[in-house]
Amino acid sequence: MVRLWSAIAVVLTLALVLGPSAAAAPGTAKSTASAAAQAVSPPEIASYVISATYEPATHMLAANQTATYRNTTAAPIPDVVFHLYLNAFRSADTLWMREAGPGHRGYGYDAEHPGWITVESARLADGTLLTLEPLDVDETLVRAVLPVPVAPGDSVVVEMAFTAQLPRVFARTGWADDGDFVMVGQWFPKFGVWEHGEADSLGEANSSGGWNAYPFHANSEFYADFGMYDVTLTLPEPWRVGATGVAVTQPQPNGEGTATHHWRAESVIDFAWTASPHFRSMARVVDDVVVEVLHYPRNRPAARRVMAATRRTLGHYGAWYGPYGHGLYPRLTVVLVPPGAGGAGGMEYPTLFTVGALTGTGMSGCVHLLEVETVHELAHQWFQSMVATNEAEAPWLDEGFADYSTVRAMRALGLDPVRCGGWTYSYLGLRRSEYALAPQTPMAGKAWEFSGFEYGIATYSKPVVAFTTLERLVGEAAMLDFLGRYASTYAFAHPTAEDLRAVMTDTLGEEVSTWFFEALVDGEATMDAQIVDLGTEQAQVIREGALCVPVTVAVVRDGATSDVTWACEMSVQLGGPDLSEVVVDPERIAVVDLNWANNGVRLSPDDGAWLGATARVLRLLQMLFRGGAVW
Amino acid sequence: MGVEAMTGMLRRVFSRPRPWVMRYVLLTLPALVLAPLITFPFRAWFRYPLLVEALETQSLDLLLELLRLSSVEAPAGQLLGLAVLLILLTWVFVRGLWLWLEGGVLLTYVQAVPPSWREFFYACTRWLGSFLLLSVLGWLAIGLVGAAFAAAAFLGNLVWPPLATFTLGVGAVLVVACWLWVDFARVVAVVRDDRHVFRALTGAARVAGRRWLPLFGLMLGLLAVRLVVALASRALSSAMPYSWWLPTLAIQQLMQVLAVGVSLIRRAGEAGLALDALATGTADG
Repeated sequence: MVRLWSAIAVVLTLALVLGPSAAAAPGTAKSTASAAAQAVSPPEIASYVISATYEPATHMLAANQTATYRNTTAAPIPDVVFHLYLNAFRSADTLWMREAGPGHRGYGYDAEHPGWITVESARLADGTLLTLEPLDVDETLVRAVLPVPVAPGDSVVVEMAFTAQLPRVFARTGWADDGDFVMVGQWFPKFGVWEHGEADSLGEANSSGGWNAYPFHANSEFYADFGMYDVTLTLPEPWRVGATGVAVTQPQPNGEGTATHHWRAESVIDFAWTASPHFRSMARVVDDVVVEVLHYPRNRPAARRVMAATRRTLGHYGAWYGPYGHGLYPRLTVVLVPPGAGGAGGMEYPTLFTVGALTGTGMSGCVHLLEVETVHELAHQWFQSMVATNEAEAPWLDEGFADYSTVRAMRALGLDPVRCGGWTYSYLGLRRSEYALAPQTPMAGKAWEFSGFEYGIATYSKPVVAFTTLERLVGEAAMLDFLGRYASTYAFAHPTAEDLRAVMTDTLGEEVSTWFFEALVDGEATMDAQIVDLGTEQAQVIREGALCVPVTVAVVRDGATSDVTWACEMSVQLGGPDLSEVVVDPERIAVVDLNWANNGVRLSPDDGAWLGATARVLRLLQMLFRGGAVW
Repeated sequence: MGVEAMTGMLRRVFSRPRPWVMRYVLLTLPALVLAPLITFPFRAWFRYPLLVEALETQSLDLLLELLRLSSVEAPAGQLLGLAVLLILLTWVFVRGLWLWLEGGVLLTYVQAVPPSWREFFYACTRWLGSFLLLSVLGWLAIGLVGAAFAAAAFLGNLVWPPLATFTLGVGAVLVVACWLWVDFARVVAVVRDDRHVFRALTGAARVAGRRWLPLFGLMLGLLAVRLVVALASRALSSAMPYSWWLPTLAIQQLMQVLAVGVSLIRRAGEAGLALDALATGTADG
């Protein structure tokens, strides 16, 4: 521990010495990321050609897909595993529904409008029929044994016909507005991820390799390989479509009241789309990226806010983490979901994200939750869509980075979730309040191992608090170096927590990464620094909890302030004479500290400030009594 | 037309300071008693530097930290409930006195010779009934108009949100207009020395119709002055550290005196316009 804090002290000293160069830090991160962008060569592993027809009256999709999986490992692949996520919504007693409630973020499941998917046929390119064997009772995961294993470097092509029934939207995917709005995600049979040298996540040990794929759990999101998607969608003619990737052609009318839309996306991990006859488009070009916000006509004011937040934040994220899509994605689509479709909002997909889950579109003025949601989902374009971590096994990796990015972005934009009458409530404050409710929750863990409440702490609040503490400890320049290096090193890859730790060790030092991972990621350590005794002759400050962050203590003696360094001792005695005030961590480096209020105390109340407060209350009362006579 | 009468009347605000002093004292005395009563239970909290920082930076984050602090004893709920009750009762008392004083205040400006104390208090009592009735009518009108436009805005929001904003804006203007109409009716009643409420309302409408330009100018001008005073007061207050309580108090009270003065200048100006209209016979139509 002593070595740890020596190392941190060195980092802090370096940050101070190199202070003037801090302004160059974003540039450094950017140049690192740009260099990586030149070299980046995304793997094309799981690719799909899909042709689908949507029937709005029944909310049903009839589709054919040709799915190709390339074996990039050294181990032969004996079978193929597909996710059939929509089956999680086929009844109220599926695993997902039992875990969820059944509902999602306050939106309830409509048992009369369930969702499901059936695969009518699956065959190899040579016509060999495949038998799909369910791997869970809900059939959210199926497997087909291949007649011949896929050799390293080879590919398997599976041709499938399937029908998907979309649910009334309550959890990301489905229809709303009497069928006039549809948001379609996780809608097609989707490969798991074949990992070399991994134990099969289905529980079948396999020394050479295995499929990383789990039944669909409520807390869990997704994990997939990069690949190409070529999708044609046939819809009623007046409907406007937004989707992952770019439109290859203008919609082609079919002469029977329908039109076919052709979209293509490369180097992405998923394909989602949305459509409505009521959509209006708001488009801007930002740094060579076409940003389009799709919205209902009545939501234009909210769409402007979403566009403004997206445009302003793209530059910040680009400077911190490297350019959007490393220059490979020419388009970004933002879907502002209509009223009644809040369940579809607040979700990220490659080159597309949705907003409108938190507040609908109605709240404005001094509440900026729509902006919070926008910058959070935009951050996922880096952390998950590009740095494609496993959201089932390590949900904190993408949500944590996205939420920490949200804190950074809101600060950079000069926005707070609430700013009313001069009073502000910051996003960091919001997350700190949540963190304090269960701070011992480790960040690491599979999504379904947490209760819904713990999941929020582990994947959102605690990472925000932990990363912000780290940022304040090592300084902005070092933090940006770490973030930029991680994002560029693992763009278009599947890093694990260990990979992240390696980058942290490389950029911030082993002592820092050991402390961060052992205490915060995997550990249950907490910290509450506080003053327990203050007299004129001595004071005692203590730490509650095993977590240690070195801080300074400001001591006021006879009107003069002096700073004392407090490393990791559990308790420190401060001597007088004439002690009048003690403040632990006056710079608030330790954002993990459970309560800042007990960090500082005076021997006697600050009567000047109390009278100042009284004077302000006096004014408020006078205004109240004056009533309507405002002028 | 009417501007000279109005400006001449404004001089009376300064030459006859009784209403100004009375109103300021009426606002300040109860507030002076209540303010320390409200803040004293929180005095112990001022041992925590975080509270002062939270107040000075207007940070709800920091304020919430304090609320999570188990060692800080929140003043008992009963005590806070008592404070709220006390504020409400005082508000009713002050607003009642304010309305009672209105007759005397207006008479001070309307009458050519400043009224004696006896005349002042007689006018206060004489006009109270009519003014109360006008207040009731005013609140009814405001309630009806407000509710109608709120409902329209709610429906508008379902169709097209900007329509709701526009509807609310129009509604707000109409609510303010109702309030100003009732307020002006009191002036016209005293000027005409007629306690009949409906004649006061119709008379006010006629005077406002005939003298709309100077009346509008008076309102807008004083609104601008009032806004400047309010903004300056707020800016100075937020710029002052809490420990600078004496300069804060001095500046705030100066602003309060100015605010009361501005409202009296409006009343005097309106009285001048109504007197001028009455003199030229337009108030009677």
